[in-house]
Amino acid sequence: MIKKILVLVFISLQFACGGNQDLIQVAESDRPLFGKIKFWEIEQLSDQLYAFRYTFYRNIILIGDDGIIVTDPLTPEAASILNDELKKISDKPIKYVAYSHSHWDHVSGGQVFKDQGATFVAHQQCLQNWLENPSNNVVKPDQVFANEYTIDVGNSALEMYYFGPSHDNCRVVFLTQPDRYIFIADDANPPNGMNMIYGAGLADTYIFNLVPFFKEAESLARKKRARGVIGSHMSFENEPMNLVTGTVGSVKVIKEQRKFYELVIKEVKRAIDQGIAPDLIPEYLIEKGALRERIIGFDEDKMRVLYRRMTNYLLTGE
Amino acid sequence: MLRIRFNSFSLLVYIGLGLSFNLVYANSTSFEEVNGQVVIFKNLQQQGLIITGEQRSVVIDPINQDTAQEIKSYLSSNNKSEITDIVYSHSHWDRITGGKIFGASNPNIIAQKNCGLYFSGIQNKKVVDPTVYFDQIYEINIGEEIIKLHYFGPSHGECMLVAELEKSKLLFIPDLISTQGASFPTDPTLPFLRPSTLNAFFDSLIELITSKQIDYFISGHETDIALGPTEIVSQQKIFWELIQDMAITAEEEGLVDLNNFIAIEKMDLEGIKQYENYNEGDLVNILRRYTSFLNMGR
Repeated sequence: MIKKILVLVFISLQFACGGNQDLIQVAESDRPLFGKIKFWEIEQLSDQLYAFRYTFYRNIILIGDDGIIVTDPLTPEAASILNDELKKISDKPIKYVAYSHSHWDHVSGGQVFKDQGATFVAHQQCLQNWLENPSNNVVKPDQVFANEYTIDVGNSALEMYYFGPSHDNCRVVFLTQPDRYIFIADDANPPNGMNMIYGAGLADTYIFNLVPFFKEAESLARKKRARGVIGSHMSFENEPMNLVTGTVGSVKVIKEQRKFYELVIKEVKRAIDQGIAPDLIPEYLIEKGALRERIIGFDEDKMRVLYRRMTNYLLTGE
Repeated sequence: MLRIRFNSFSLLVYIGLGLSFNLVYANSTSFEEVNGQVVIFKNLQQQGLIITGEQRSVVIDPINQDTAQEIKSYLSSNNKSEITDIVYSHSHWDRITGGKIFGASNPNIIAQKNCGLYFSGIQNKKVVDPTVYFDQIYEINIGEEIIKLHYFGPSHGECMLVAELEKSKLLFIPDLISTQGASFPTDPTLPFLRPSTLNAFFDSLIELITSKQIDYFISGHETDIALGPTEIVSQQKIFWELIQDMAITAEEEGLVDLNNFIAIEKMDLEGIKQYENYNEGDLVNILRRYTSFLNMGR
């Protein structure tokens, strides 16, 4: 009986810690980025799933019997490195490139995969964005979709879900199969969704749908019994300068990210309801110490910008 | 200073164009007649337009319910026809929550189609859903005036339109440009700016101004003077081009830190310092948005 309980506790911990399986480092750069963290590295999460971190960015790679799916090529240099390393890992062809959203800092450099005949897949609104403002470094998608799309390469698949505009107007949630990891570009980075965010001005963010977006992602995680989240960016633990690569974390990071935005909106709304003049709200909330203890790595300058952005949102709906 | 004050100049313009200049205060909303058909109303840092005819009247941006009530009273006490068309210049609630007050006359409510994104599953009960969505251009002919609503792509928010009053040869530009001259934006965090399509917006607007030979425009801000010369549009475009050039230079010269902030003390600021409302703190935030744009394309 005790043995059974211990097994259950172990399994629960596995889920709580995002699967907590050992990440196998497959390759890394000689060049350092920060301290012991290298400029780039490739980690293996399972027989079918790999993660490639290049500077502060990360993408995922799925290898199936029928070929390879690469996500977000990042930059021409990153894509070239990844291409070289993938040749060492597998002899399968690179058949697909899947885009998480339209921002160039994640999706540049795909030409090296296009030259090998890969099919590029993105949400339909991403294509619209690239037509409005093209980049020579971004390969336009061959296949677009509206709500859901699955790329299947045999014993491995990438499911893509669109839950409306959020960060960018075409960001999708990736779910890997059969390993059941979730990847949400630019948000929900392990180890904690309550970490201070990078871009407090929320540029190109559709705030009105942020909370519903994360609720949908949480629901997906429950329904599909996701075992963890893979971070699209390096992050920090406990304090901003304690950088960690943040490859894998618990699915609770998604809920934490939702709470982060909900709490900020709630504080600003309360200030508006109390009759604080909109221009004074950021300073009022800073002086009050709002969220100082809740947000990890609370940064006053960034919070001023974030409070101002949320004030604008609550007054205008955008 | 590039931002020229046009107060006295505007007065001359009024006289030159033969426009009347009657300022009427009613409770918290003030009304300013530009000519026999066009009235500017101001309230709570915003201003909108009423365009009246024998049979129809149009309001652009009814701000809020109190303002809308005062507009209704103004029209009634001046024997003008009731509101038949409401135009939402864009989706922002602080300009458009007064629509319900005109419900009895069953007006058309018109907005550019991209506003639908913000109105679907509307979170603000005071905003009445549009009844008409248009894509590129929409015309309202009230006889005495023809109002053409132009959409030139995302600029300030996703769906801001520019209204052309064809017979008066005037434009209503709700945001982005002040009638007092090219200047820094009031909010340096640029929450609604769409850098990727901003140049195209300005180019289309300048093309309209040139092709229709429109000399004056009205802005959507209460603090602005009534009419500004349309050359300000080109000057404001140059301001944003200068900002973008500065961000590119900063990237090229390695002046952007890990948090995307620029060491502006190492930059040549002479050109940008000439603009009204310049301050260094604002410039840092504005440039940060532009370095993000250069990285993201959005």
